[in-house]
Amino acid sequence: MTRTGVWVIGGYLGAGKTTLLNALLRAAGGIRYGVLVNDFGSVNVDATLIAQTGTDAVELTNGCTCCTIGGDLALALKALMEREPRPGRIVIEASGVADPQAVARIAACHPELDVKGAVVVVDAETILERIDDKYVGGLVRRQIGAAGTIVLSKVDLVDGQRLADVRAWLMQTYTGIPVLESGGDGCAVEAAFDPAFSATMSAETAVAGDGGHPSFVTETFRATAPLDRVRFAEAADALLPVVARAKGTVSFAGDPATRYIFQLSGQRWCLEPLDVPDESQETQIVAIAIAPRRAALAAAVALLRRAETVSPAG
Amino acid sequence: MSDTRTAERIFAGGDIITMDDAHPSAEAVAVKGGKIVAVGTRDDVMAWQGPTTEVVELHGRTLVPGFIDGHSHFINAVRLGGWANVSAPPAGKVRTFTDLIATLKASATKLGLKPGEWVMAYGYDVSAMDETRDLNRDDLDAAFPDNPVMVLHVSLHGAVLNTAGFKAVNFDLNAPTPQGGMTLRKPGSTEAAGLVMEHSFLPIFMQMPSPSEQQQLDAMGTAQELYASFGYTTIQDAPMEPATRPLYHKAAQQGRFYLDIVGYVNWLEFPHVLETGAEPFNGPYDNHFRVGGIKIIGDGSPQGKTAFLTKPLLTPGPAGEKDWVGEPNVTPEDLNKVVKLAYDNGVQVMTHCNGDATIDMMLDAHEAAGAPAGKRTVIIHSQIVRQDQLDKYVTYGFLPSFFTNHTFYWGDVHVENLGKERGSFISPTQSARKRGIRFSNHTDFAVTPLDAMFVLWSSVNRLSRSGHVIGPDERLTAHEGLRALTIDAAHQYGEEATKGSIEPGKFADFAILDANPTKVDAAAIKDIKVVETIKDGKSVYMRESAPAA
Repeated sequence: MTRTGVWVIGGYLGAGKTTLLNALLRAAGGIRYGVLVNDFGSVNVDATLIAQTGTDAVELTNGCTCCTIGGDLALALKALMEREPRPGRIVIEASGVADPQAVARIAACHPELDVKGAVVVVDAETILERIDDKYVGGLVRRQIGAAGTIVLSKVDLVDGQRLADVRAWLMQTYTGIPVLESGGDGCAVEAAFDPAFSATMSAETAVAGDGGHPSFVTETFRATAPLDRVRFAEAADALLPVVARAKGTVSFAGDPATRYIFQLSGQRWCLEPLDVPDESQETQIVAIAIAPRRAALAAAVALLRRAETVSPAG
Repeated sequence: MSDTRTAERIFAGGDIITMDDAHPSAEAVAVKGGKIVAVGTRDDVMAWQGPTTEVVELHGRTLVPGFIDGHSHFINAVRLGGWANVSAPPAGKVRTFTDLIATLKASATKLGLKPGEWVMAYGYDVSAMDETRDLNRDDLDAAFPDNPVMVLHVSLHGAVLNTAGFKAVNFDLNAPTPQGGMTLRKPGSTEAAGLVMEHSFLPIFMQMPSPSEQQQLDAMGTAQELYASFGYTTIQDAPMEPATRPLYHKAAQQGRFYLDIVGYVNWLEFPHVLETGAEPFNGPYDNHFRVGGIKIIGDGSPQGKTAFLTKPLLTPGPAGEKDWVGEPNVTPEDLNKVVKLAYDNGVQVMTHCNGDATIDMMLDAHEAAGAPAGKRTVIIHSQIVRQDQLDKYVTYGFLPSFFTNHTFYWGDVHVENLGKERGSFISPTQSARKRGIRFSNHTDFAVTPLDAMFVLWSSVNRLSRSGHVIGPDERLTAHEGLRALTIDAAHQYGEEATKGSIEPGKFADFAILDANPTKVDAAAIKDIKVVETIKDGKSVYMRESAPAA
């Protein structure tokens, strides 16, 4: 029996949970998602996306919190797992006041669900004030503490000093939890939900210890036409000094029958042919680096563009 | 004499507590067309007697207004409809496992269950029984080898199953206990013994078949009977689940309601419901059902340590946290938004607030919405309310719906967790009354049993399980306590002009009690039985074992 993977997206109201969820659905790549949302008002998850991707969306009613048992969530998960066909992956967007860890524990009780982790979104603009809010300060702090990965959102909307303060606070308070920085577009999505990336980030964060807990930034490279193999190899070499981890799928010109998985980890990269090639000729590579290398990462990933020009076969 | 002066029924021959301050007692009441037409001396009221009038002799029993449910979850009665009640006293009669199995057997026979069909029961609480160990599957297997059995724990957070039951839900008897779970094992074995609680129970909960719409519609009758058997004539479901709203409308269309049901829309779907005009807020009863407003759930419960407080508990939090103050269940931003939206649209707001920090949030939300007058905003539970907050209740016209059953069920626990001062001030009914605040008192069914006389007893005695009086200064007189179940509860619904007291022109909604709660010893109030319940002038419940005279 294959268990269905479950992710929890947590974080306070307005932090960017739905933006992240929409980005995840946009990058679904054929995976049919089951989504649980817990919104006041209208559902903010992109309706067009839900239709396009065949996503099953279920609203939670946030019933009785006297009941630590979470019957409401349990029933919604039950309903999702009874759908035909079953969703390939489930994402629970927790309410703005929910403890992501508690949500994950409830999901873990379903014998056919496999909890992959909790991603907690932290709003770079407001977090330093929010943590001292007389009503919700405590719960916001606990939410972040429950994260497997922290996504620091809206970094494009704050100045350098603010970003430095937030990073320093997260580093000091949540030592050991990887932080992935994201602009308003939810661009960190692939890295946030991929165990390969979280493993790298956790490892580097652990090694860094108290002294230099880094935040991570991501860049994504996409190309619709097959790439030039030689130029790709050169560009991939140039990623090595900058990138902590990269991953993706690649097609090469002159090799239409094969699709490759590109992996970059440590100081090496490799290409492995996909067992079951799909029809696509597209390339998509996600790369992460520590935040101080943001500019270098962008430049290095941009170099991959050169491989879009295919040299004459010779 | 004209027919217009002929009553259908006249009640006389016992005490009549009218709850009408102008005329607190009467000798007789005449009813016609579902309404009260005359209240007064026997001679005056008998002027309404005609050849067709039925004179109901009370034989010394006491007539009171039908009880108005300040807050409960009617849907629980619908879901528990066909289930056996295995509660220990005072909520039931089960003291031993022998009693319990006999009750299950009687239920299975009554329902005509075939092999393979579920035997369901609720209310199991070994701590209140004359037993020294938990019920196990061996106890149940002997009596039910061929039927799956599930005996739900009183907390609704767990159950005891028999072997056939575990098999039916594909529960691996040797499965490890999940985090936050409790699986009782057989001595010297890794096999589950029968009782599974909290997160161990969730996989079972997730495998149980949900009742169909038809099953729920068919259970409406027995669910109302349960309320009627305790004298309720107006009952609540708050919040309604999104799927329950159409269910109630259908039940109403099919004429399945004979008590008045007031449903409150879950705040999360309120903007959508408002936008689509899906519910007629503030409409009249339609075949005994109406939508009263919205219900917001502000925090959790004090016994679950999930009430949101301004000052920490004296004991650790649910996961052993130090200086635990609980957490809100709603962000202040959303709360402010929804309260404003409701006020702007003339929709009544009912918010579950147990802790004082959540109450502060509601007071803030009211102020942020411009502190409009006359909204009758209801603060459900208001258990850990402060004196200064009660003053603001007066200013803002907030109506608390208190929960004095807690003084019995969890009073000792509250004193331990909150300290003597805060613990004793739980549901401070007398402090509210002295300020002129009108409040209801509720069961929160299925959290505590529906018995209205037990609710009254708890508000008059405030006696804990261990025999301590929890906040002696907050005790009410029986008459004051009755207000919270009748006229002041009607006021909470904006129905005080038509319900809640025995006055001409109001609905003929009554309960007949076998003793007068304002005359018996305070300790004996809980032994008073409802012998008959009348809705719109018609008897909807008669106690079977009621002596004739």
